[in-house]
Amino acid sequence: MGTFGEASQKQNDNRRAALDALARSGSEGLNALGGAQMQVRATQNQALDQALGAAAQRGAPEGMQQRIASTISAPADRTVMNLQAAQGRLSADTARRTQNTGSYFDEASAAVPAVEADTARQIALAQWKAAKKNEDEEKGFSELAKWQQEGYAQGLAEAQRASEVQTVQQQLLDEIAGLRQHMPQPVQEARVAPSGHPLSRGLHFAEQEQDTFRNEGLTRATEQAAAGLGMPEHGGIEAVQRQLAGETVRPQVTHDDLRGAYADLGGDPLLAGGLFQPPTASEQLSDLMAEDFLGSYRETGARNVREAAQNQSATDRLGFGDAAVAKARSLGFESPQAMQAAQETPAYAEMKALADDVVLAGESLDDLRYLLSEFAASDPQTVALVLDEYRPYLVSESYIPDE
Amino acid sequence: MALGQDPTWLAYMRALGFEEGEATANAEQSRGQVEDRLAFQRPIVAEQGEMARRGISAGFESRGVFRSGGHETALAEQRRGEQEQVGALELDAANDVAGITGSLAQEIVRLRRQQTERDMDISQRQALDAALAGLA
Repeated sequence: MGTFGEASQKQNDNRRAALDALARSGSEGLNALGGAQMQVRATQNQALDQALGAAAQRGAPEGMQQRIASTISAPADRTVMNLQAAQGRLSADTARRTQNTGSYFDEASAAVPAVEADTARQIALAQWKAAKKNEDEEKGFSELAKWQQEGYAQGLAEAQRASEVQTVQQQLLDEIAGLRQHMPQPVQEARVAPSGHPLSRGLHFAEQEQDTFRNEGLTRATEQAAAGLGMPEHGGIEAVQRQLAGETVRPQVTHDDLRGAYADLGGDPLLAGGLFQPPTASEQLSDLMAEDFLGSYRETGARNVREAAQNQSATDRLGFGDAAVAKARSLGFESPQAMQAAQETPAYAEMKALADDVVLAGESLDDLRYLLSEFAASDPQTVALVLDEYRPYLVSESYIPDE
Repeated sequence: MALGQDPTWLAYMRALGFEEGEATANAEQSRGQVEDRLAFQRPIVAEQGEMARRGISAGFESRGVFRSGGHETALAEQRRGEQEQVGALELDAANDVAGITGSLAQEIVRLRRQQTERDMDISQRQALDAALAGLA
């Protein structure tokens, strides 16, 4: 039996109980009213018997006895009439209530299909919503899985590309970082000078000098790194610069690059052309060999970078860069080596001691030039070198207030 | 789930059975009070009537008109009054009983109608819960 079938059966039980209650009530009410009539009549009869019997004993005439009977019976007759009227009203009332109750249960029974239909509609709606939700979720999961797969594949490819260049790139970065550590350090000394000291005025100049050295070294190392990757003319410098800026860049090594590299490494150009001519029937073999050569290229590049870094580092330390050469010649030396040799002479040490005194005394560049004038005739290059080194830390002329 | 297995329905049925039982007991109590009142008042009316008639007869006898139309008329009037009293008692008691049983019947009809509506609500809820349980 279904849920609503059981409810329908309960409806019948309730209908029966309600109608039984009404019928029982009507019956008991009628019985009570009927019993009251019988009681009234019994009391009436008893009173009549007593009254008429006593009247007869006292010799009351017949006419008097009739009046006595009429007088005594009148209230009882009215009471019985009232009770009978109450019975009629009760019967009618019970019938009306029975009809109303029956109508209610008829309507309740007739409403069951409507409730069933409403229930089915709600269930169908809920099922539709659930199905729609499931469909949406499945679609979402499918899309998510698709995105995950695509993302994984893309990420894997990115990781592979990154790993291909990571070794060389890391070497480049390490070498360049090493270069940076060997930069000149005049700024560190300048920073300890007291505020307002002439040394602080040389700070800006010293920083500019440091930037020049660093930029030259980095540019040279970048060029070397690009050459080491075998792509000096294929965007290699730009690629390395982007790499240094933190961007992941994959060097685009072409077959032409491979052929050129093979020739650069001493290989037979004809053989290289045969090996790396795409597309060929032995493309797979070519690809394998290309990978080998790419590895060789990386090694070569890394080696070149290391050498460049070493050279650059030495160059920077000795001041033998282009800027150093230009500076040496501007001071009258033939080369940076000659300028370095001059810095190791006793005359240079004596001049520096005088220059240090001038700086500590807060005197001017003119003062230093005056003190060094005795060396100017015999060693003008060293004098020029000392003046150049201390120019950033000295004012041009002393300011002596008029007394 | 059958209605008889639903805790909500069972709780409601317990309340319904209690209310119907209380209403029946109240009706029985009221009906008993009516019957007690009637049983108490009937002999009082009869006794008071008897005493009144004795007084009436004694009065007429003392005046020497015991055997007279006036004496008979006075006794008849007294009995008419007593019959009116008895009729009123019986009429009121019968109407009270009819009213008590009618009120009880109306209460039972109200409770059964309420139960019918509740049964349908619970049945629908059960049907929905059962159908939607697998969709959550």
